[in-house]
Amino acid sequence: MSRSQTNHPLCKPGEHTLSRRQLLGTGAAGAISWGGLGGLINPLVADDMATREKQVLFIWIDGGMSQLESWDPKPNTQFGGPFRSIPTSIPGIHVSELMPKTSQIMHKLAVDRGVSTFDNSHSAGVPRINRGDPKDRGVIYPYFGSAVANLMGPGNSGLPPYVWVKPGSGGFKYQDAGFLGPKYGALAIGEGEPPPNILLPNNIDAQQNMERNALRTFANKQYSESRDTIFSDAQNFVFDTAQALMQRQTLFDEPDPKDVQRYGDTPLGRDMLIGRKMLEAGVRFVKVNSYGWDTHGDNFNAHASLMPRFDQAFTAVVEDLDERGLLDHVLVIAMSEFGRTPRINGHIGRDHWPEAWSIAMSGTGIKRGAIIGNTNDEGTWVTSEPHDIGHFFHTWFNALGIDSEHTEYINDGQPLPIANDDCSPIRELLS
Amino acid sequence: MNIKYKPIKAPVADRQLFNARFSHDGALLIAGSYQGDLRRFDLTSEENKELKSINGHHAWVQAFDLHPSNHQIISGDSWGKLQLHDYTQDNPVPIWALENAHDGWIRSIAFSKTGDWFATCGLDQTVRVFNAKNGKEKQVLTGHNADIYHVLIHPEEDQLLSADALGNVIQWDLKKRRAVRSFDATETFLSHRLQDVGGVQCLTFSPDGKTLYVGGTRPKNGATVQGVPIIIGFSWDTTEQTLLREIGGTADCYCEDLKFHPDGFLMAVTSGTPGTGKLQFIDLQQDEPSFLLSNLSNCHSLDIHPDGKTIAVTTTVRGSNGNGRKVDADGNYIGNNSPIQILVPDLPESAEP
Amino acid sequence: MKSQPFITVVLFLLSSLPLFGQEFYEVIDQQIEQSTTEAFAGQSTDSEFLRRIYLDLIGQIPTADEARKFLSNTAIDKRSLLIDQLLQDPRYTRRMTEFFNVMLMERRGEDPNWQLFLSSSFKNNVPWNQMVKQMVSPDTKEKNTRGAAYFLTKRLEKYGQNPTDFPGLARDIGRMFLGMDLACAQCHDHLFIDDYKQADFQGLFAFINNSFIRRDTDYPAIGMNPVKVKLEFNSVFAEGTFSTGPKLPGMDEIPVPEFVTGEEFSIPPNKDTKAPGIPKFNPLDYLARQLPTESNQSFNVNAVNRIWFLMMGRGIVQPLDLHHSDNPPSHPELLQLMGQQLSEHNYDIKWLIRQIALSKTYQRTGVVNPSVANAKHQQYRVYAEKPMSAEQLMWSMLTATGQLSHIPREPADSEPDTDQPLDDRIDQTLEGIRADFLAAYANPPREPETEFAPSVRGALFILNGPRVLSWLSPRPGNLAELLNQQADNYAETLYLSILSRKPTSEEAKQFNQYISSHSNQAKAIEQAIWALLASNEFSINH
Repeated sequence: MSRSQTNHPLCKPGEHTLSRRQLLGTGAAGAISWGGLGGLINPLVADDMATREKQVLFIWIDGGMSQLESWDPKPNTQFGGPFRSIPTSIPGIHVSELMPKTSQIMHKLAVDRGVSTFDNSHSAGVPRINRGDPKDRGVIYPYFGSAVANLMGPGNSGLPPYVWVKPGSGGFKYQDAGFLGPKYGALAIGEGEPPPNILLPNNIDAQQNMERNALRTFANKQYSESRDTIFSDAQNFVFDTAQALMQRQTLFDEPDPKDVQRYGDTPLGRDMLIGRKMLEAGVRFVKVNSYGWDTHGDNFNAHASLMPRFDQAFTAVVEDLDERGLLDHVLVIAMSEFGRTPRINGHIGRDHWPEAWSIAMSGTGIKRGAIIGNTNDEGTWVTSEPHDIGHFFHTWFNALGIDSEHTEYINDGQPLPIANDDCSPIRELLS
Repeated sequence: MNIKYKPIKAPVADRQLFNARFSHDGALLIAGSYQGDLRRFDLTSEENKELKSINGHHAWVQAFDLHPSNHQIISGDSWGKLQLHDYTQDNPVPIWALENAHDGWIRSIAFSKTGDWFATCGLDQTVRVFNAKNGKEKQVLTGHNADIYHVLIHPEEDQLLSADALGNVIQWDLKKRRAVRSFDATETFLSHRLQDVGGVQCLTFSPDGKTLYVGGTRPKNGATVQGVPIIIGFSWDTTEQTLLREIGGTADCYCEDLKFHPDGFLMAVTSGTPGTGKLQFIDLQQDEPSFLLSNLSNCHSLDIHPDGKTIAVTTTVRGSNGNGRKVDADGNYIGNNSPIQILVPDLPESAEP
Repeated sequence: MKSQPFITVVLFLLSSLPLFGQEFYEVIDQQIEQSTTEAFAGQSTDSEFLRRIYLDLIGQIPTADEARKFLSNTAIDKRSLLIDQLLQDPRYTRRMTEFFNVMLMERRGEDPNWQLFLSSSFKNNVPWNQMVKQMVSPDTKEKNTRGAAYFLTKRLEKYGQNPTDFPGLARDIGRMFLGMDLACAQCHDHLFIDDYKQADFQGLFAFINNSFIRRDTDYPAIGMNPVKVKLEFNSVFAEGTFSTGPKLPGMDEIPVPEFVTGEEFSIPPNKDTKAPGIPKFNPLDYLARQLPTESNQSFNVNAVNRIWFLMMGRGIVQPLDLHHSDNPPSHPELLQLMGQQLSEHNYDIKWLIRQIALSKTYQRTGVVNPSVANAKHQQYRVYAEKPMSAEQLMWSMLTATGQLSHIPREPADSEPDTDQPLDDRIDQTLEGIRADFLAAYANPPREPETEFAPSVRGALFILNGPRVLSWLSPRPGNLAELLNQQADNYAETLYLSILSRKPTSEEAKQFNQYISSHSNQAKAIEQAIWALLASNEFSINH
């Protein structure tokens, strides 16, 4: 076995670390100066990164997709479940029969079947995985989206650097940003709806809008002259973002019915399509979120229903990005907070399983067709070198052209590694 | 009705099991397993000894039925394979076997009244009819738009019904090879997020064949499904709904199996998330169940012995749920199994013959 | 080990402190100023102070008239007079009700009985310890205060697919009344905070894990099932099973009495009225007796820390609910003294607010000069900016625009006002206005509103939302009408009405010129009002 038995349910990292953060003298969450790359990045590496325009599509399957019903099937074994495995476009590699479309684009993907992480509860697992499980340095680390937004900046699109397309409520979700401060939070598009009040009222024309904002900017300048600019900067940032969004209302137009058919007339199909449009519009980091995967009961009927819908939307977006030449610039990641237990429980469900699961990737910097990592015959343990989430953060940063082992955040004078410094990039996954 | 039941020793295999059924002579208990075989338990032995299993299947063997008049068992697995065996053989060999009879998961099988043919259904959204003698496919019936969970033959007329994951029940005309009527049990279905939740979990006819009962849940949500277990009754004459009965709370979730007791009342089992499932006897004239046993863990099927008294319920191991690794003293990962609870009427001493 | 080391140190120091003959606000300044040798900023301007004290004490900015009056007043004691005046203002009750509602309920929902509890308490300046007593052990007979039960009942309501969140309620009692977030100690001793033990969490949990929401009342009410045994718990780290009765951190465990089955109730459940039984042993009675008491240091310190946060924008312990020895207060002596003083002043919140308001520390300017550049917030060398709540923004925008006098007295089904230029379908009742401001500026349920969280949602609300834009055109007596009647000097009216100060000459020039030279002056006035409402100076409490 690869790991000690002390597998404890850790609590939210933030709750442990705020105190230290205060000792270090960081003030309110907004206490960071905005300046694109300048504010937080070690200046030595800033130049190197500024030249690249890479993007990320991060597909978050909330609740835990079963690796056994998807990337790492163990057919006809004790825990294998009812489904068959099918061959893929890579000879010798099989996936579950529930992802027939994905099986045909396997050569465009990389899959690591040797993922082994720690937390087996949602409350701990979701933030921990999303933060790359950094070592405790007394700060709340950002989620991957906020990290990329900060490290790579918003680019030239004028749109917010981090857009989160999801079912349910939209709005500005600053919590992902951790110590980077609220401005690196996500703008959430809920239910495919544009944010409320995105349309300029018809009794204000473009000229008038310019005039009133010029007056506002004047007033802000007056105020900031003799003030700390922490809050003002953050406030200006959200106004700028709001105005950029107002210019891009077409992003929220009714989708082409042909696209709907290809992506699937489902919440995930809808959101993946919006995600693609956001990437085309130049958003740096797009998170597309699917909920409802926590199948403690009736796992197999659930996956029979869930997986083909994921399969369709996922394949459509990868194919579209590839066709448009975007796959060379966009890093695509599909993952959950953990896999699901091999053991099938009394509710014919599978429970939470961080010990041995799979993550799929594609796109920029990723070696296409790299199917790495192994689990044993019954899928219970990783038999290859186990990869924790820290390894993936290193890998993804490197795929984006960021040297994860030498780049640091500078937070209130404190240099902080951007990924867990006990981990390193997984070279087999990098092109 | 004033019955008490007491459990006797539960047969336990080393794998999880489906649908424990008594053989017609009551000597055997047969169940499909989660790993490619059917398990047999000798009820005439003291320890309910497990006999050699019926092999040759792949993955889940959820679907099987016993021939109405001989010792044959037809079984289908989740990879689409069908096999016919004599279940009384010491070392059963297939009479015939057919790979890919369905494209994938076979969910349910039902012999016709004569046993000449049988019907199957499954994940490929088809109902198929086969010649029992040689396994030749006679018909493929299409019309469902979802995974088909059950096939059932009317007890009087040789009429075939099938029920799907969306809560639609279709009656087929086998001569004309088309659907003739449908029963609307869509109350058992919910589309939640990406998931189709619920559908018909079980169905049975009243002994007189005049009422069709459908069991399922009224789903509240997907993922870890919650819902209120319900039984819906339909008039066989008119297809009108004649009964809607809740048989538990949201924690009880699925009505997993329904059978009529020879004494005329309905028996139901439930399995819930997060509840633990119950066995209940339901006199449809009464509001409350006449018998309720709630200390069985997640009942997934129900059968009654030819003696008209003994009941077998496929259950699961209490406490088999849990996140993360569970290992035994040697560090091996712990699997799961499905104790089959056998219950016999707990009659006062004097009433024993 | 429950005692917090720094408390011991502080208690030792207390004896040497010269408290006598001094007003407490002087002690505050002494404590703040002696904590560093670095420079402090000077006193705030009158306009700065005026706006700040209005926002903090009555939850809104002053009107232009109030501002003019105060700024032209030459009395030396005008600030303390204003403080006393605002503390008697009916809007003080409204402000405190809003602030404590947000802090204690964290946007979980609204309830009229709860509102009544808060407003009647603040109106009568009910001592904090009594308020807490009512929250944890509400008396159903007292109409004005029984809504206090909402603190408990709302947290026992199920939301989403979650089971009844008893641990969450135990956690919040710790957070809100002791300043201790014990969530991580639910399953094991806290990994990083040595002071927080699993037994602390479980002891709190044992007070409430048998409680339930009563369904037989039309107001929030809490019931209690008989508690027969101690609570058993396991640690995910340590071997063995542990048990505890109800117990507050650092205090004695409450023994769980034994009753013969059938004798647990002093009043048995009533099947006819559906009234639940009253058990002879109700842990909440003990909680009410033990928690809000003078001897409970954590209780006292938490109370003053939260009032300090109200006035200063951060706690002396920050975050407010992580009070433990590895997260020491910025000013331990001051915190201790304040806690002691509050209990000596019978938990009089108004007294403490007044003392803080009178201090130099509170009245310091927020303007940063080189000597205080980069001063850390927790040094209080310069007054730090505070975020404004959705309610403060609402009342302030209503006040600034003059819309406050156009809110219909009779809400509900009156015909829409067809004169309204922008959108005659807008619900101009206070309920409608409030709903819009909460949607734009409030945090989601269960998210504390303690930090600055600007949002694109809020920006779009002010940029394009019909709500505020509908207040910018002239209506009788409002700001736009007033400006339309003027021939010049628009800027002074604008700045006094919206930013509670006079414009600088540069500002006056900019705005006067913009309006007077505009081809459409009425429109220009709207634009100017909007620009100041949307400005950072307006939306930050500074």
